[in-house]
Amino acid sequence: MHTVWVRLNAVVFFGLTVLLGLSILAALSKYGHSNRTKPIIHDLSLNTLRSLKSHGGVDRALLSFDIHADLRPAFHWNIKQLFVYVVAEYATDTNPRNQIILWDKIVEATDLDDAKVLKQDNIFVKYALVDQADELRGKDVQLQLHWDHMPLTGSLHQDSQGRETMSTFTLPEEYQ
Amino acid sequence: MDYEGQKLSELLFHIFILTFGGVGWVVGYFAQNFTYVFYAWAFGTAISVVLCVPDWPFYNRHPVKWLDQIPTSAPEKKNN
Repeated sequence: MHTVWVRLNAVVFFGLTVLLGLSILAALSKYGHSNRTKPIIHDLSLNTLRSLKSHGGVDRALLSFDIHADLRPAFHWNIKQLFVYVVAEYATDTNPRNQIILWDKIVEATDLDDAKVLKQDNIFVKYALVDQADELRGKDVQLQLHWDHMPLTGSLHQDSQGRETMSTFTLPEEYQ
Repeated sequence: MDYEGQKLSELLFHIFILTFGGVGWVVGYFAQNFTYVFYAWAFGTAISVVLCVPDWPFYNRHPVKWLDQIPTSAPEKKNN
C-alpha cells in the first residue's frame, strides 16, 4: 500500500472480487425459480401446410404456425435472455425420434413486456421441416416449444413445453 | 503514505465498496433488476479509487518516527 500503483491494484481487484460475490449471490437467490415458475403456453399449433415436396432425395415441408406463449414468468434478475425455439417431433422407420427446429427467437430481459408474450398467428417457419430421408408423408408431427434460460451468472438451463399440451397435425400421404 | 494512512485507506475502500455493493444488491433484489447492483458497485468503486489511491494529506498524519543519526566512533586506520 506504499505506492499509488499498489493501492490502485488493491482497490480495483477488491472491487472486482466483490462484484463476483454479488453476482454469485444474485444467482443463488433465484435457485429453484425455474422449476417453480414456468412460461405459460396457451397455443402452439399448425396454421397452414404450404407444401410437402421431395428435394434432392429428402422430404421437405414448409408450413406456418400460430403461437401464444407468455414467457414473463421465466424472467428474473439473473436472466439475461431466453432463447426460444419451436421443435417439430415425429417418428419414422429409419429414426424413431426426430426433432427439427422450425423457428427460433431471442427474447431479452430488457425487452418490453409485450415482447415477452409471444402472440402471433401464421408465422412462417424460419427453417424448413426436412427429413433425413424421404419419410415425411403421412406422418404425425407434434410441435413443442423449448427455451434456454441464459443467465447473467451461472449455467444455461433448458426447459420445454409439457408433452401433454403438444398439438399434433398429420402430413399428407402425397406430395403437394 | 505512512503506515496508519495505509491502514485507513484499506479500511475505507473495503467499507465503501462493500456498502455500496450491498445496498445496491438489496435494492436490485426487490426490483428484480441487476442493473441497480452494477451501478451501485461501480459508483462505490469509483469513489474508492478517488478517496483511497492518491496520497491525500489526511493519510500522512502519523509519519514514521525515524531514530536520530548514531554518531560514528570508528578510529581511522593506520598503516604499519
